[in-house]
Amino acid sequence: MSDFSYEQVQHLAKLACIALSDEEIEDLKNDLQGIVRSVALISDIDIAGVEPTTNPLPLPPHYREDVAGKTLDRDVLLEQAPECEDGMFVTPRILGDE
Amino acid sequence: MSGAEEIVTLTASQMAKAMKKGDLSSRQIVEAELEITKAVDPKTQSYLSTCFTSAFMVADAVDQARAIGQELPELAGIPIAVKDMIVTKGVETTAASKILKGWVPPYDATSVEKVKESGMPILGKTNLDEFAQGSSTENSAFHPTFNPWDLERVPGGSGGGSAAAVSSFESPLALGTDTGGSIRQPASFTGSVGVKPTYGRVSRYGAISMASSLDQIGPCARTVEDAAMLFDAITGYDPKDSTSIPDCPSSALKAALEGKGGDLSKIRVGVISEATGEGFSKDVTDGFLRGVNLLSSMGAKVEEKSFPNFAHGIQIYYILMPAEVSSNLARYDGMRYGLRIMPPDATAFSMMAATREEGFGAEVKRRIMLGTYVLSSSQYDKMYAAAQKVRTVLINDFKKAFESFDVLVCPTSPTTAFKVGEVEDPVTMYKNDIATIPANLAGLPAISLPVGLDKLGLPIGFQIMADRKKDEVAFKVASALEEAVSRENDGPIWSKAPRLWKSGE
Amino acid sequence: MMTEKLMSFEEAVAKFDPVIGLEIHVELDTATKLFDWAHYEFGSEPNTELTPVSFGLPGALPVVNREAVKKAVKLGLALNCHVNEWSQFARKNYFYPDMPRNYQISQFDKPTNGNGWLDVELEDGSIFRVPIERAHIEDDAGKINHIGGANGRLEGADYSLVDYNRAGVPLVEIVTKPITGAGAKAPQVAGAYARAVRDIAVACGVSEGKMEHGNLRADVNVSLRKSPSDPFGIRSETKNVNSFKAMEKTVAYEIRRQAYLLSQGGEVLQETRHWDEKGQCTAGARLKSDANDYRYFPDPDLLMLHVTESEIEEIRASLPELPFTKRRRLKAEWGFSDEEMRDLLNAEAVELVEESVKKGSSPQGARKWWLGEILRLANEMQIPMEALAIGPEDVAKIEEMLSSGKLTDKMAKQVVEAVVNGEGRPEEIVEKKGLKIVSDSSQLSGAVKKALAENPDIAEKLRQGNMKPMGVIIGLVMKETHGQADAKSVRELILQEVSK
Repeated sequence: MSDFSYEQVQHLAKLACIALSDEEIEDLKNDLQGIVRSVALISDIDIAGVEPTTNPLPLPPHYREDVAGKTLDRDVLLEQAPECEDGMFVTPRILGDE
Repeated sequence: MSGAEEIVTLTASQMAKAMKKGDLSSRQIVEAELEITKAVDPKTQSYLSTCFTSAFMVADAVDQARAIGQELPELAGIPIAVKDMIVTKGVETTAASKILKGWVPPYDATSVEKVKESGMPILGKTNLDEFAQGSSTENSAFHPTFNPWDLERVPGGSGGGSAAAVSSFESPLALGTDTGGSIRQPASFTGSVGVKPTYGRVSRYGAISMASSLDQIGPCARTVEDAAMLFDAITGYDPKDSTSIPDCPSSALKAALEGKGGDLSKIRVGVISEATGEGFSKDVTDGFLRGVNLLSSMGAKVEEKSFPNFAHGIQIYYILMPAEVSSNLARYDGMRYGLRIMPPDATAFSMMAATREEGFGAEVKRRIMLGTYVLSSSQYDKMYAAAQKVRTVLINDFKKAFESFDVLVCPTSPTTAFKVGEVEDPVTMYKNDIATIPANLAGLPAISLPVGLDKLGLPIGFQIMADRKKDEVAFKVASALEEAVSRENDGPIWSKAPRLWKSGE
Repeated sequence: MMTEKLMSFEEAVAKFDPVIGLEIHVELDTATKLFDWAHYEFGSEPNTELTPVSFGLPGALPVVNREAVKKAVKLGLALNCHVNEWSQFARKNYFYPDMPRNYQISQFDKPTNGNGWLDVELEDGSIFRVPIERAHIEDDAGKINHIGGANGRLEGADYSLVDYNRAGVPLVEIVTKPITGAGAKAPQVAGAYARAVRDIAVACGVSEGKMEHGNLRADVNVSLRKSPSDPFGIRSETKNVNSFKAMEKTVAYEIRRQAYLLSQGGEVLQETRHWDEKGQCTAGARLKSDANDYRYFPDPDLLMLHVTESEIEEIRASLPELPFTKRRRLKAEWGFSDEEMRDLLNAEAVELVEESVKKGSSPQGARKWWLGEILRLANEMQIPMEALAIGPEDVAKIEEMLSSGKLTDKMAKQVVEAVVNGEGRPEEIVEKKGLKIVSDSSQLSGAVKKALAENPDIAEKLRQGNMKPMGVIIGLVMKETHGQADAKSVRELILQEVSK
């Protein structure tokens, strides 16, 4: 198992959208390495022909009928918003290259 | 009945009986809990917030309804604490994270709705490791919680607040969430009873998602009977949760009462051989084996059962859980609710990244990063997809085992409560959950109850797992063992917990 | 605006083999969203159509809308897809301000509809088969309004406002396989295919199909290669192309742009672009960086989606006659030429003519009106024909009055215009304006006699068999009768009169 590089951790941080500090990235290089090494042992188990499990229990199909119900009060949502304007949520400018 | 001490040391079931007889009112109970909480909570720090004003309103309504002879649910008037991982309408819900500080949900979790329908006053929201990620409640963004049995020790985690509140008599009952042991391990550290129901028996709607395929809400109590009453109240099919089990009526209380008879002659018990010895402390192993002997003395057919894949549970878990965490926690971005951090010359993405950097603690970030890694296109097949398959292997092992056994037993945790700050390395901390994780992976019901005390006088937890949807079998066995342990120790373990309201304790 | 160098289209398609790929998002017409009970209406008050689920609140969980699945399957069947009995929702993880959960619930390796095709008719009447890779179900994101900067575009905006109402609306994303062999017709294929998808979605009742409401949105991928035996080239992806015409133009533009680049020894960047309606060009929006690792994984909050054989068959049985088949049938029934039918298609008037015929019009009559006067008026007013105040019933009525000789051509045109102007139904207008053919011979012969008497020299010429000045007399009679005389009757009366 290859070691984690600074760039690799930084790339993961970008995917995860967390502005990690350099110090955190350095720490995570080791932490991730340790955890990944400890979980890698599952590669010893024979999983040929085994189906993956997403839901632990087999359950019958679960649907909702197409009937409209009560929606949330906008004022309540906007009260909790970090910033709002004209009944909408304000986001800082979105750059095209991000 | 009047003294607060006398009231709060009643079990929920005793409170219910006293109210029915008219010896006690719900207001008196809430008043007593308030008095004790004022004295005890500064020591344990079990709660993140309390809501006694609304608790009194519910208590009074129940008392009035009872006075006019209205038919009431079994638990009406009995207070409860709710882990702050479960959303409560109009009451701040934070998951013990800075990123959600101040967030007031506009809706109730289904389990909270059920608690309210049962007429139970909610006393407050209990502390936890941030987003339920941790095994000691040291990872709360706000403050740690301390173990009522020894305030220098951790109460376990993530649900340390609920377990500490129950065992320190700040509340007779509490709701917890259990993703890898977050109800059971704290129960084992605090001498209380913690139940992780079969995946899907309690609706997850409104439980803040940590790892959706593993999360389950369950009861925290001092006795098996109390836990069973709460279990019956919160279980049931919920159309709002796609993974909810239909047609599975609950009769845990009946099973618990049956178990008290002490006849386990029809029960086949499998003792998991991998969960004793190496990695498990001697005191824990000894206490556990005493419990096994008690089961066999009540007629249970006890046999050792080897689970070669049991220890792999923790490896599967630390791949699948962070993967789901990384996705479930993506919604906390400073756009719609909760914390927003604006860096200089902010763009949408720099704002989101700064908010998440500031709003999440180290353990949460570590898991998000790990989850992002195992799901990335270069790792998916050998990490995530492989773990999903090993999960199937483990589930099949359990399926096979339950053809020969009614319950499988092991210690809940490898050690008793450790000291605050004692465990720093994440991998060592993760190993705390080695015995609790397999039940989450396989969706099994599991109960932890105290089986005795170690040399330091700290509680030891005993875990009983049953087959899926057979939660009631686990309740029956747990109840029988609880009685036997109580006889052996001249009283229930929970009753030996320090009375922290008394000075010097 | 940077203007890019382009090769002429003719030269580009002569030198290169274009390969296109189309992703069309069709918004399903359901009462509620894909995973929650909120109803969505285009243009409603911002952030009022949300539940804890579609707003992505902590603790909220998705539950699949059965009707949305049925409609998605119906659309899949109409696109000749293989419907998978078991399919699965997967999370597509990426951060964007319009996404309440920062993951989209979509489908990945187990889509509900796989492997289909659609035959589309091109301008020359030929049929082109578009291969379809999948038609999967997913939920939509909210809408972002850019504030400040230039004309509401993302570039240069100071900040943006988000309306999450649309978040959670069910979509079917139809992804084609690489479409090869279209050559110079590639732009046409793109447009014709998208129209066909829209028509099918509307005919099946699964979508309103309104482009202007964003019910249909397309991403257009284009790449070039030297010859059909070469591997695929690097493609550009033009996002959110919102009209059929724009799709055609995007394909043509990208072919020309890439051809020039490649011919200069340059390289096509794998990038996301958008169609700039003002500049009539595509423009690069952002480089598709390696950061786009969506980390798809099965959504653990949802179960496998199961559509049984019998449910699939039930839905198949409910499919209406599909537009392509229907057009062939109508063309035969109406006896239209290829060209006539194609004109109708291009004007999107098949349904209007069909309805008019149902209401009693002759096919040719209906065609003449819809493609003639009405189309002219619609173009003038710059609104689609369906939105005009005139309907198939009116056309049938006017056509009936015309063919039974109650109106002249000229009068009919007047009526059409008046109906379009909202002056009322045809009968009312005829009544109000007193439009009536005067064919009553006593009234007419009076007018004829008068005209002849007032123009004795013309009358004389007519009597001598010189019919040239006939028009003058007809004109006078028309004037006298305020244009309501039937020209044929007038002519006959004049002839009668001069031969006396």
